[in-house]
Amino acid sequence: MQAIVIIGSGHAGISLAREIRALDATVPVVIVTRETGELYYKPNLSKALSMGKTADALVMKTASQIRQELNLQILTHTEVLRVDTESRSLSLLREGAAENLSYASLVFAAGAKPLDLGLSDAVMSINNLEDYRQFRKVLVPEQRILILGAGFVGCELASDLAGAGHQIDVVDLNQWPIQRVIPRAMGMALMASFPQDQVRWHLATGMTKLVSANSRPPQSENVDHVGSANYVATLSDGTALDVDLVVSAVGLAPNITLAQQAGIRVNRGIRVDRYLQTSVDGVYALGDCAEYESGVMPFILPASQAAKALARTLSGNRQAMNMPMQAVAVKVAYCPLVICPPNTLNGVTSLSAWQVEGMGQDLSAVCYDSDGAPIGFALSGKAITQKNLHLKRIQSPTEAIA
Amino acid sequence: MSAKAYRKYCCITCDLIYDEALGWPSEGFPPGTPFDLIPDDWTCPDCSASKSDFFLMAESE
Repeated sequence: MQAIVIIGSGHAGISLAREIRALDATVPVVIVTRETGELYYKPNLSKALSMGKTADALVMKTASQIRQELNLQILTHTEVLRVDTESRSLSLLREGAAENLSYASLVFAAGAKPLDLGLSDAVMSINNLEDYRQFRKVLVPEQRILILGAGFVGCELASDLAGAGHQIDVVDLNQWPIQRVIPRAMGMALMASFPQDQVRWHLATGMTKLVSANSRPPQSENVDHVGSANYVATLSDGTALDVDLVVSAVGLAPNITLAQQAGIRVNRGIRVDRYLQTSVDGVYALGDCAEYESGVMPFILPASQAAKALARTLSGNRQAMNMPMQAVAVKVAYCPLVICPPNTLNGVTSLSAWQVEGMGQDLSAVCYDSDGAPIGFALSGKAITQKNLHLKRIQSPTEAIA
Repeated sequence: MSAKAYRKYCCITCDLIYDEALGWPSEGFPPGTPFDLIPDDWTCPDCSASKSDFFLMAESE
């Protein structure tokens, strides 16, 4: 009996395997991953310091625990070289040796990779547990850290690292943090909540150059705080910053290359219909590599929902995915946020029709479409306790109006 | 011994623990709220997993 083969051992891949097992105790399932196969909760990578956890402590289950509990195969440290949808097989490179693997159904749960700014190899990205292990190895107390990107992850990292006593510079091309899905007033309140002697925001600007401090040209010696920094970063507004580490949190690009080479239809992500099916029969995609009908949704909940629906479909009970409205918590210690992004964000750079209420950092903002229907919201500070109320309203807007 | 044995439930997705002894006041559940009394449409405050995605933890944990 040929297996359901899942490419990727992140939240999407493991959740799918678990949901399949809940419905079918015996169907063979094989997970292929280039990583160690350890299960961890990826959003914790930007808050582990404040949780008091090392990289290893973030591991919820090891590969062997998952194998045992779910009765499946996990091929770790294994690269998928090619997908052949005609013969329904994969070419693998497993610990240096080539192998073939046939499948009955194939699922891409291959995740997304950090956007490469191409500025310097010294720019770190934290996209998986191994990246995080490397980051924690080089992180030394009191280092000055430059964070590129003030989105969900950039803001959480800034909070986590500031809480651990680091000096932080945050750079973003936008006018305020998380600009795409929160109003200006909330962005301003969020910035003001950080300790000002520790965290500096450089907005509407980008990093144009990063050089090792050793190679600093003599004419640029009058930078902000000359010391024994590792690098000098130059911003497009002319500012020069002495920093020790540079972390990029500018965003992710779905991993589509393998699918594309196999002739599967891709756009920004691997295109799927409501049943998570790609353009090729028997091949599916979910999670951060997928592009749903409503677009790429690189969050936990859509992947969880997709895993539940796809497990049913693969067990012979075809089920469409229900794209949920979701409240995403942004764990900023100084000013926590809960954001419910509209489900129609494709191509939208900034939402305009916000109605904001509240004072100081305790704000609730609701975003409306052109017909006056609420399509998303953002809450900050003490207002985050209204999450469930807002979520119910947006899930059934007619009731709220009546 | 104690009249009431409080239990703990763990979210399978994000590891968040619902401890009946502590409840979850910001979600509207005062200390001592049994997991069974939480509405079925409640979702994990961290990762939005369903209530049914929580599993009962062994007492030693």
